Amino acid sequence: MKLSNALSNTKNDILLNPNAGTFSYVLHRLTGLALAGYIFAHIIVLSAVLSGPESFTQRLALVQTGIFHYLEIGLIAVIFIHMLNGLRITVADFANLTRLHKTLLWLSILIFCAIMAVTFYVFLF
Amino acid sequence: MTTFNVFRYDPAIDKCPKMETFDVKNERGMTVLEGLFYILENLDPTLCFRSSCRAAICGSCAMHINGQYRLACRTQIEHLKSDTVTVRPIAHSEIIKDLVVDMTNFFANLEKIKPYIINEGPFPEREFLQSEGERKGLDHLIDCILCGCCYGACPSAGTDEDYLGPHALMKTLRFINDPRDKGGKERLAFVSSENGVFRCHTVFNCQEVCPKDLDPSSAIARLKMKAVWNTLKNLVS
Repeated sequence: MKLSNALSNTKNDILLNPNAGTFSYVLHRLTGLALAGYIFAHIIVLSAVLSGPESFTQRLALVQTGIFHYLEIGLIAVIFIHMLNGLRITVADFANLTRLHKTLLWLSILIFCAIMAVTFYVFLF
Repeated sequence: MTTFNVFRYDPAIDKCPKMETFDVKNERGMTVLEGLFYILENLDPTLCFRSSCRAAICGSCAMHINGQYRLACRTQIEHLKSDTVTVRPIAHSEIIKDLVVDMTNFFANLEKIKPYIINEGPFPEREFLQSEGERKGLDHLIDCILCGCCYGACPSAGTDEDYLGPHALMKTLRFINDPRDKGGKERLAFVSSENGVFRCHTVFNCQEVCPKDLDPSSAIARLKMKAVWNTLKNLVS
C-alpha cells in the first residue's frame, strides 16, 4: 500500500471512529513519534562527550536552562502517556480484560494526572 | 422529516465522491435501511446499497451511520437522536457504487485461514460429535455474520491490506477451540505471521462496532497469548 493511501486511510479512520480506542491509539502513535525524536536529540547532546569533558559540559549547559526546563515536563508527560497506554493494552490483552478497556483507560488517565501533579510540584515549586 | 446525507460516488462517472442530501418522511420505528429504500423508491432510483434479510442476520447492510459502523436494518432513526442521518460506505474496500463496496479482499482474508474443520480422519460413521459444553464454548465466536463493520473500523486494516482482519482472526480462534478440528498448530503458525495477530494495534474498534456484540479484540488477545506460549515452548524444547 502506498504511504499516501495509508495516511489518508488513517486520517479517515480517526475521523470516522471517534471513540476511546481511537483516542488512545492516536495518543500512543504521537507520543511514540515524539519519543523517537527525543532519542535522536538525546544522542546528539550526549555525543558531545566524544569531543572531551569541556565540550560535554557546554552542550549540557545549553539544554539545562530556560525553555528546556519546561520541555522536560512535556517529556515526562509524553513518557507516561506512552507507558501507561502500553501497560493498559498489555493488561487488556494478556489478562483478557478487553471488555474493560474503557475502565482501564480512565484508570490510566487518573494515574497520569497524579504523576503530572507531582511533576509540576517538583519542577515549579 | 429526517435529513439523509448520503455518500454518492460512481467511479465510472464521478471524479470524486460527494455527499447528497435527501429529506425522508420519518415514521416511528423506521430504520435507516427503510429510509434508504424510501430514497430509492421515491427520490432517486440510482442510489445503490446492499441489503437482504432486514433482520441483522445477513450482514449485507453494514455501513457507517452517524459516527459508527452499524447495520442499517437494525438501526432505528429515532435511536440516533439526530435530525440528520449521515451514511457512508464501509472503509478499507474499493467503492463499486455509492454505499456498495468490493469485499473481495475481506473474504479472501477469511479464505486464507481455512474457515472449515481440518480433520484427516479416521472419519466417524455418521458425524463428528460435539458435546453441548464444547459447543457452548464456541458461542461467543461463532455468531459472526461477516458484515465487515470490524474490518472497516480497524486502523490496521486501513494501513495494511494483507492484514487478516478481526473477522478472520476471530474465526481462526473459533476453529482452534473446536475439539473436532485438528489444524490448530497450522492455524496458530499462520496467524502468528507478519500479517496476523501481531499487526493488531489493540484499538478495540472491532469490539466497539460489532453489531452482534462479539469481542474480536478478546479473540485476537487469546490468539496472541497462544502464539507467545507456543513460541516459548518451542524455544525451551
